[in-house]
Amino acid sequence: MSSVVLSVRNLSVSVRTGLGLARVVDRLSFSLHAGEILGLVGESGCGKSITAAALMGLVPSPAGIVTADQIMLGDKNLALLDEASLRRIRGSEISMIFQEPLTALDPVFSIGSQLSTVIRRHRGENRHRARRSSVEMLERVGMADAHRIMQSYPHQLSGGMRQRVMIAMAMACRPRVLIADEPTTALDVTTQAQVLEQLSELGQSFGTAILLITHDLGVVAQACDRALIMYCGRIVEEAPVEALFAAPTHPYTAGLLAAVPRISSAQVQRVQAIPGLVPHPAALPEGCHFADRCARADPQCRTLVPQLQAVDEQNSVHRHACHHPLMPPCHAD
Amino acid sequence: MRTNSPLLSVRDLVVKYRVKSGRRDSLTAVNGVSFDIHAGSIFGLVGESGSGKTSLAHCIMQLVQPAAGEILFHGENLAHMNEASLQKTRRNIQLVFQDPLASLSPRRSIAQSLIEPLDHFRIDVAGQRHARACRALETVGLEPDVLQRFPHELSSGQRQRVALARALLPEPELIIADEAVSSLDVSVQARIIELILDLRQKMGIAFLFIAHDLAVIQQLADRVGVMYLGKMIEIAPAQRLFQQAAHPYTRALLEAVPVPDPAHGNPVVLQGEPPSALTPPAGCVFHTRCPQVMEQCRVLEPLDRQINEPGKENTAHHVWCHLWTE
Amino acid sequence: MESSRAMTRSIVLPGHTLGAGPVGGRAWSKLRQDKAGLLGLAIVTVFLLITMSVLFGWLGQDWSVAGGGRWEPVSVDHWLGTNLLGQDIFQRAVFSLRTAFEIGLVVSLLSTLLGALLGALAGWYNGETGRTWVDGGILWIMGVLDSIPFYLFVAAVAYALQGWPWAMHIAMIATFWTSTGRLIRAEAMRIKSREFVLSARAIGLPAPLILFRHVLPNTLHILLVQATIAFVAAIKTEVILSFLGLGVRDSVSWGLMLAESTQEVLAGHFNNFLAASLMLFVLLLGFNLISDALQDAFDPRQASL
Repeated sequence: MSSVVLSVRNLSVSVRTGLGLARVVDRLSFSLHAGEILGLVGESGCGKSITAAALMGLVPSPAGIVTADQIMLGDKNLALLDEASLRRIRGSEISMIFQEPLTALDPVFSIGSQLSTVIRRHRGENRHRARRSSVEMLERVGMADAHRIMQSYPHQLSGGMRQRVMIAMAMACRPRVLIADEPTTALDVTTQAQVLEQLSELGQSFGTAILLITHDLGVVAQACDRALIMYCGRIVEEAPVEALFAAPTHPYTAGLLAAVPRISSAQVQRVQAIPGLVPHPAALPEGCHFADRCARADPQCRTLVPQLQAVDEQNSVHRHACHHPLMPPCHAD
Repeated sequence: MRTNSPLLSVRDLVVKYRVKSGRRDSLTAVNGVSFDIHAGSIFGLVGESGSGKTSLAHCIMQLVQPAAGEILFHGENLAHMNEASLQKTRRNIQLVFQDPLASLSPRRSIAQSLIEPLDHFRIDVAGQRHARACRALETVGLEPDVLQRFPHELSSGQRQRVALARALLPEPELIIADEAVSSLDVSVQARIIELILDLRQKMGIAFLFIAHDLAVIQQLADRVGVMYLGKMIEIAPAQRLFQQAAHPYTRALLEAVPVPDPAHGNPVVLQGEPPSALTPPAGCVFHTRCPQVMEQCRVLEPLDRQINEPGKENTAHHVWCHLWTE
Repeated sequence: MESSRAMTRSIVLPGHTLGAGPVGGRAWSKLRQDKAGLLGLAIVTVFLLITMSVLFGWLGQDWSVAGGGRWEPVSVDHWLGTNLLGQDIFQRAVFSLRTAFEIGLVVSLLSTLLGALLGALAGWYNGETGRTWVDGGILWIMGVLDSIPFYLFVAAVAYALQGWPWAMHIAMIATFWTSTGRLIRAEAMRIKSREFVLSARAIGLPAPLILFRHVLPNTLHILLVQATIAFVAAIKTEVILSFLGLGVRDSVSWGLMLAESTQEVLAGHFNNFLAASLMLFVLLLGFNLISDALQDAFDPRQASL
């Protein structure tokens, strides 16, 4: 296992809602290793995007309350840094790309000017060198006509191209960590594959660790090495993707996999819905949050919060938080 | 099925939008599309952004007038109908949108939104409309207490069910679902898919299901049509499409869908950027990205060709591609 | 002010409800927490109560009576003293409050209404919904009205309709509606493309019904703010018109009082001036605070994660 680049311990985020204080992220702990792509997976409202914002120090306060034992980026604890120091790190050591690149890029500045600005600010290069570095970066992300793109404005590019510009901007300073928040959700399927490939390739060659946030299990299977499944602010399962898809141990993961439609050239496999509804974050049930929707739940699940623990002694990389996990080799019922 | 003639027939439909941009002053969103939908069947229309599928739906709903071509409902041309027949047609074709929040009026309660079509189409007596709305909610699996709420108080899955309930109220023969499950979470999406199949089975409603996700289409459709840049490039029974897709674009789409299985291997990447709809390529619209492009593809538009044995009309496999024309 | 505004920002969680009711609990709870807005509301309420007292005949009835001597100082009989003609300043100031509310309410309500109707029509009838001449026509009228220098136009209309008690009101309504009209037109064009409007069109609802039921109710947030702005503008315009002699007749207003006081101030008597300008200032401040609070409450800019 390569070295740990980002180590998060007990990250929690609470938010004031109309119905009271909501724990949208609940004592999250995980590690990100150099060069890997870690998927943070969950449905809407599970807390994955807020987690990303919390890591970057972008949760608006005082509306959102962030606490953490530590968020170690190398030897710096991001949880303790002030805004000025965080600003220096953002973009240079830890970067983020978002779902909708049209709103993440400023419509009144050309691509070249935006890219050069980022490079000059963090790499301290002069205007000429920055422009040349920008062109290099654009070619690096697979843009055929880099010089023309430099003069273009965001609205003149397609969604896929804009997303690649975002990647170029985020990776220009060779950050240690890149957080990608649903980077392909707004893209067409054919473009999605291109962008994911680009992302993987860049991560490998720059040695950047990538935290890929998504709700799409197909994207996880294609691009990620490991994945964390989140439900109602907690991690319910953590595993390398092969193990996760082949033999999920948490009932929620199994339920998700059964609900995803898959193309088949033979008999169509009917999708199965997970019964029940996701609870409101301000009205979360005691014990395991998934208990009300789980076929395997018993009174213990409703009182005792399951902790993340290894699936078995030999296998410490596959962990789950469940009192009655599905033991391999069986799948969902 | 009652008869063999189709419920809805689209013939050579062309939809243009006025656009103030440089040299061009009109954008052709739909460029000569033809297909049929039979009663009680689900037709899946697939296409990525810019394919024109939404414009097609809007035109069928008469939200926008076609520039050319015709739409026949029960054999009657929509453009030639008088007001009374048009009203009847509007009752018979209902529309469900992608964004459940935007498709319900935010300042009106669910009850008001549901009763609006009943009032407008004068269905039932005024006193019984409330009861009818409750029954429709039951059909989609919602409690009647939802009636008092407002759209922002419901979850997206619940809102989409309300949208479906509203579409069901006039007892239509055809429901057009434009990306109706695309913005829903996977588990909620599965529930709505189950619901649609249920509705088709119990009430015999036909669906025109528009989506960009082929996996979802496979769950629902009997017949599938694939659009690219305003043109229909392949139509086939669902099983045939997923087993023996004929058009290179369809094959590229099928291979590009990320499979939730890491052992599967990475999707094959389609090269190039989709061309702009303002200046579509000459000849075959797909030729700029086609891995099997030939000389005539750049100049000549491919014609419709049926590539399986002629049999019942709704099992024909049509493709628009030079690879299949001798 | 900054801290109370910061506290009212809340985070929207996708897919979860935040409050009941058609306006959305968000706006309501923000309003309730905005201290400045509540202060504004308090001020306006107090003034409104005073106005009601005038209407019921309890206060300010003797505004034209020359009951005292010239420029008497503050006393028990005349709480703020008297003016050049011996009229009680307090009575005049309080009666002027009634005048101000009357002008403010009539002009703001009618100009906002007119702007809403014409703006909605213009916004609806352009593009593929047909009859684009409606939009063209209304835009042309707006353009013409807006190119005429404001006070000149208002003065000209007030002068032409002189003698008619509503001349001033008509003049103001005819000019104020255009700003609301433009805002509503833009918003109507935006709302027109939203799916719930497409649904309404798809089932064949006629345009006027769609406008009243689906489009206009979703512009209420703009209309409320515009109404408060128009109220303030109306009262300020009245002051100027009174200086030009085109203001109220057979009545008293702060504008008239201020116009009168120009001479008095030169003679060293400030009561008239202070009474009118202070009351004017406080009422307008109250309305401005409410307007700000409303704008903040309806502000769609929220931290959404």
